[in-house]
Amino acid sequence: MLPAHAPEFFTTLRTLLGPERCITDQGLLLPWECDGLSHLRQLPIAVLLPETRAEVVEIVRLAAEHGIPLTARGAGTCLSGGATAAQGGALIAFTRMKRILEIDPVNRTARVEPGLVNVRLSEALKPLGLAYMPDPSSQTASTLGGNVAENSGGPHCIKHGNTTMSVLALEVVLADGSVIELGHARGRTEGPDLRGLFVGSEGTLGIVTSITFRLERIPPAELTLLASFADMRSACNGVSSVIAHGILPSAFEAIDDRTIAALEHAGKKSGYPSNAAAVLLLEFDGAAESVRAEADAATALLRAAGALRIEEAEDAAQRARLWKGRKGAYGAMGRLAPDLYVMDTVVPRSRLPEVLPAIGRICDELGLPLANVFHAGEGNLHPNISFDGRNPDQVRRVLEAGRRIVEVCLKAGGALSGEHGIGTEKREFMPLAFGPETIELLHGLKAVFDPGRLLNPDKVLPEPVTCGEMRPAVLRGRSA
Amino acid sequence: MSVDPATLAASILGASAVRTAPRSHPHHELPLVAPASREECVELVRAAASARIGIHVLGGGSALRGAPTSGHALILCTERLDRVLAHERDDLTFTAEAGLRVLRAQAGLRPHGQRLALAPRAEGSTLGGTVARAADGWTRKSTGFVRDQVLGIEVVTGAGKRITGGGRVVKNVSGFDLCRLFTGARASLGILLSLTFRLRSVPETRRVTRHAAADLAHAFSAARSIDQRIPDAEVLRVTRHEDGRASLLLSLAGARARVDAAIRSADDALPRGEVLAPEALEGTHHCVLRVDVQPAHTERASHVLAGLTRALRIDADIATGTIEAFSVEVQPFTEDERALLARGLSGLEALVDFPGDARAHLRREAAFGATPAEHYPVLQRLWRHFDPAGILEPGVHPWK
Repeated sequence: MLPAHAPEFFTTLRTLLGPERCITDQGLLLPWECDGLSHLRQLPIAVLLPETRAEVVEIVRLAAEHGIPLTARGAGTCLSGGATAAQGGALIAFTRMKRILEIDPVNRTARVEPGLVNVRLSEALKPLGLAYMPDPSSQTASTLGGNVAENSGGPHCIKHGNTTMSVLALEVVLADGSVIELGHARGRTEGPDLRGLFVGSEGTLGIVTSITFRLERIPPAELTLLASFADMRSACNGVSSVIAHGILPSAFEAIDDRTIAALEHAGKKSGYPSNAAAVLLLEFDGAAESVRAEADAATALLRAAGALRIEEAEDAAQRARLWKGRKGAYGAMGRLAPDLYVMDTVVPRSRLPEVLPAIGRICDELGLPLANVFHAGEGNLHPNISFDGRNPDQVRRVLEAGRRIVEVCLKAGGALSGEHGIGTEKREFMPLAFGPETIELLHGLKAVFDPGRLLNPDKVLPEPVTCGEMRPAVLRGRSA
Repeated sequence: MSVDPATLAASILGASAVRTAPRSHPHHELPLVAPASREECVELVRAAASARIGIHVLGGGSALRGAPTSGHALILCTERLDRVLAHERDDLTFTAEAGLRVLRAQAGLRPHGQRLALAPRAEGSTLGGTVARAADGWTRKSTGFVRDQVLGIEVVTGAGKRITGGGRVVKNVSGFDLCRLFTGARASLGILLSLTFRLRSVPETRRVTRHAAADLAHAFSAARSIDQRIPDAEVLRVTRHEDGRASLLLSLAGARARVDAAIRSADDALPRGEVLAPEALEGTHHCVLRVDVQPAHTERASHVLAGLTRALRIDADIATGTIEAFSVEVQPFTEDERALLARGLSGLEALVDFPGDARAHLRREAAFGATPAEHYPVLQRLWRHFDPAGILEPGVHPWK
């Protein structure tokens, strides 16, 4: 049965896509009502599954004609609500547009469709000795289009950068259905960097239909260190010391004792020392001599910061063992409660020793279990709070913790998000980070590209309402 | 009644802040004003927007552009906006006003073992100018584009709005990426007031060598060989000198053990080189022509530039596809030279810039990688949003 709203829209789309790629049945829509931010839910009026750019163009044109909001979605792993439908809106899901269109090993570029899963590109590149570096923790599920929309990061972005640093060009369908190519495979274009503006804009300015990435050669050598500490403050001091000495690991992660306990609880043998209150996982890549020199220097600095033990892994099997706990952390935490709130904020690296305890105090005061797994080398925190989303009081406390954590991080000179984006989750916090003139300008910027406010509306930018008005709406969404 | 630009500026900044522009400026007939603070700059832009007075922005003056304007305009020089606002040594971040010269900033950072990953075009190049032009230089191979170095910006838009983008942390995806939007925008949307950059550590050691080659083709062949052997070379640059000689410039930087190993590897593949001072990486001549292509086209594009009859030194980077031509004198390219370039570069999807010719950018040869016409409506809507009175850089941007 077709939704009563805008029947012509759906009739035309069913003809275009066929009924199996124009999902409107309420029961079939349920799996699409949220993304990785599970406490914010909104059932789409339809899920559309295009297979070509031409179909995307037609969908966007029809949506503009009928005033239907559209939200582009990859695998739905977004952790800030950015891939959840707008009220009365449809989802364009890119799961069927997942081809690798071209790999150019000479110029080290690859052009792909947005629905390609991140790790599939790496797999295709490996025999060529090439690599696509951004590696969000969701890389076995998340799509490259989603990574572009959120400007995703990952453990190895400390050296190789967030997604935007690997994007050379984008093909984008604008709100009126026109198609535009932004950026260029050669890397440079003249004028304002519209490519850069679109990366991380969460599908609010246009819908990406192909991406050209810059690739790198697989580093000739890699070396991984695991350093354990008796307390998190010493570990954070170790992070600051390594960074301040100009050493740039390719990954620099921190894991706290509660996460280690969760791993043990879940039966995942991380091998991390049971007496450690925190462990740091460092990786170095590059020429063998550089890797050796950097690892030796970092080892000395970490010992001086109070490391209890430092393990070193040089071959792939040893490295996989040290990474096992880090990669399994979210799965282990997911077993502690029905829902997991994975926050994402950033602070200057040198402020980690004071900010982490402050976050701990906030969660203690609110009676919430907290575990930390984060990109320490970039000061990119992920306070993880386990909770039961069916309990309104727990949801209220989680949201309260989120706001207070954001305030602490901003006060320390930090930012709202390092890699998850703003989405719905943090849009009400934008005025805490930016002044009213900037917010007004950002609203105008959205209108430049999407005057009808149909492309992923109600994301990124705050509504001109008070926070108190927004909170009950959030809760209503969950309990509906 | 229209307001006289010099009078307006003097009323806000004081008469001493208004002077005549240097003869080298394409709009040298206009008054030049130098605000002493970011607040003064904002006030001036607001007043200019209200009076519909055009503004041309002058940083270090190393890449001026422009066509004749109505004369109802002024030149805003950022030379007095040169304060360091924050240097977070442990966090490797640096915030300064836009008029600070890159070399001065580098000199201040050097004692701390830190540096900006920027390569100034000229002694006077400023932080703001480098970002406004997206002036990638020799650092691009090892540290990436200019756009990847900017963490935060403070801007006054053409509407006189004082806005911020990004922040002071090394990772930030909060809202639309205004830092990248303004990188390369050449003050078409707003004027950069201050910027925050990520810093890099000064390498433990660096060795720069130049290796002679029989000709340009041999130099490229040697460069490809070294690129395979030493992928992490800091700079790998083929040079065709003014007198026709060719050479390869190789910079190895980093941990001493790595540099020593790379030197041994290079020595196996190259004739003995001449060891140069690190300053050899910086340009000493005027860049009069810049061509960007995909790396695979670098050699072919370099041969096209080498076919020009004027005396040019040509530097080509096979890793990035950037080719630059330098000359002691700055003379606009002739019609015949432009035609030769257009023919030779046809099909290479090159982006061509003529930094030595203030008006060359207004001619839109397709072979020179001009902004596609289908982008104009979007750029015009952007421009009207940021600069509704149309005061910023009139006559400079073909899409405005």
